[in-house]
Amino acid sequence: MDTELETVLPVYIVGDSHSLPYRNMVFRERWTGAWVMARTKYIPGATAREFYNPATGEFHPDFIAFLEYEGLVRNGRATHLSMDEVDFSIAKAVGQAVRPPLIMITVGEIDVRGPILQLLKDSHDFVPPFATTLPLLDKPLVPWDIIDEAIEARLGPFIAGLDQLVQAGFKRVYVQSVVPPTRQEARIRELQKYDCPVSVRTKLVQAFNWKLAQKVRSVNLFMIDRWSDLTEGDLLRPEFDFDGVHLPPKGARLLLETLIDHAIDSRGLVANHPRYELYYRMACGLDPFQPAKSNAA
Amino acid sequence: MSCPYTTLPASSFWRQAVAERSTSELDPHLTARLRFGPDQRIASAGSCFAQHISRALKARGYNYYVTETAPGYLSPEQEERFGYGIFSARYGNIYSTLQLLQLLQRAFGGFQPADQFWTDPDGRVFDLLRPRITPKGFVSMIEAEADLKQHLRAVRKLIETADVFIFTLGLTESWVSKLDGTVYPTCPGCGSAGDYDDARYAFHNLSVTETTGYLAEAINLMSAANPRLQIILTVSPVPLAATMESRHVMQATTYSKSVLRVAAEEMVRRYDNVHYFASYEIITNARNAGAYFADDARSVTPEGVARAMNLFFAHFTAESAGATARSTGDGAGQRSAAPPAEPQIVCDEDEFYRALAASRKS
Repeated sequence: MDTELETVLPVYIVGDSHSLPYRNMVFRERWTGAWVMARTKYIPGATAREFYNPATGEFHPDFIAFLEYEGLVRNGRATHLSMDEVDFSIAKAVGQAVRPPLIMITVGEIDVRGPILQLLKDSHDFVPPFATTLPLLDKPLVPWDIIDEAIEARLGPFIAGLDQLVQAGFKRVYVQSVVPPTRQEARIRELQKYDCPVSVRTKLVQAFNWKLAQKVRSVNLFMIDRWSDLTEGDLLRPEFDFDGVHLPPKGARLLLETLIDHAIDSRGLVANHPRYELYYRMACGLDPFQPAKSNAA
Repeated sequence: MSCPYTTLPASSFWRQAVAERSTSELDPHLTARLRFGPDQRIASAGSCFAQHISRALKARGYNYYVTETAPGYLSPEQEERFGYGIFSARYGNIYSTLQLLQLLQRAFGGFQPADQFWTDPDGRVFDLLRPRITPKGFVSMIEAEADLKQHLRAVRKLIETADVFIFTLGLTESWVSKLDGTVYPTCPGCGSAGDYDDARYAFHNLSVTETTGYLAEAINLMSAANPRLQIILTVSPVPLAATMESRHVMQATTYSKSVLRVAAEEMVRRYDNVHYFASYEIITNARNAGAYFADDARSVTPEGVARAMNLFFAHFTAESAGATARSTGDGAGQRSAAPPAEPQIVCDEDEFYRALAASRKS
């Protein structure tokens, strides 16, 4: 019996536990009806700060291991750009896309909930540099510049890492925005061992995402955000409050659909000139892995 | 009847109290009427020199009372940069008695300056009454106003709940708004925030009557808010960085310090809850021959600071002057080239001076 083979568009989602709601997610994207499949890697405790070490030039080892496992990197190089015969053969054999892979990184929530939130706790509020519908509580303020420095300290290494990925040819890397925090104060007390009002926590996530979006854009990448769909009055809609930390799969699906929409709208990013060169040489009956003869020779 | 001078103690006679004593023995105090312990809440405000008192209180384990506290997890460098813990609230330097009075009037709701905020070309907003409290200014007017509201609340709480308030009088020369008489810590547009504008700002050197009157009003206001409050006044021994008067800066300094010293004296005579600490006399007395000043004849040396602080604790606490002097190794020794190794003092006036010097070089 003949079975119709369909190709699947893989999206590689790697990072902290916010990568988990995507696990085993398969759906048809709404424009072409093609299958989309999430391939995930959960790195326990992954943070923006530890994603990449600018001093040593090293990424988080689990991140590199994931890229290698998925065949996106081999011998320290992006396989989709490789002119190596073995990489080319592997790609051909598995029918793997020769375009830059779609990767989404989920980090930041631990950075926000950990060291940055501790500046505020239940004792302080702050005024962000953008308009928000969230109230300013009658509490002492942490100056925005201090919040900004704290976010910067977490995001600096991460953005340096993203820049390295882009330089290495991974031009279709997305970053998931930090999801709106739970409204459940008791859950936060349980997790954090201290209180912090939902308006302050949510405003802090807004501020983190505000900076994250700017910085991700500065390296020509894109942050995936569906804040207005996930919230009501800037607070997390109850139907998206899964366990007090993560989105339910239906919330994650919204974000993944946004990524797919953006990827479809940004086909210019998929240009893969080294591979086009290889295919061109093959089409001309040449050995693609032998250098062309020079006219002068 | 015998001559009344014969009944006086040695401290009343220059020869016994000063000329026959070594510098390290000089102590211009009699027994203080006020003593505080580690449990009492000690607050402070004033000029740059006042920071030595707050630091010494903290270093010796006294309860230095801060009502505008830093958020948790800030580094000491961040705390200092954003003005936390330098004084009991984030008011920055308070140089004149009118500045103190207006701060209290603002805190207790009686005064709202017409010209307090200034926006720089990048849109950052500065509070001209505490221009260095956020190094880059506030991110918006909303933040500036919200922060001010919390600051004034912290000042109110400070005055209402402190046990002792130490105020170091620094200057009489002031810059005021022509709109409503708001007094600024430094001239707007000189080294810190603001744009200098002849039409908006005027120089004013407070007279002894004004200085005394404003200080009395400030004390009345504080005592009404907190009848238990004890107040210690000191006069900064640090000379003026610059004068706007058309006379030599030395004359201007003598005038300013004399007025401040008289005002302090007047308050001690007038109010039972006001006390005087003679930091000015300790540092500047002729017996020292300037030994407690660095080569610039303006900065007080670490030895001078240590001596003043030891005497402060000896008279106002249960500590002994001799013991503290020995433990911290003070004494007017050789003149220091500069005040080194001391933590940096946050001083609006010095910032102005540095900016002025830089503008003259360029």
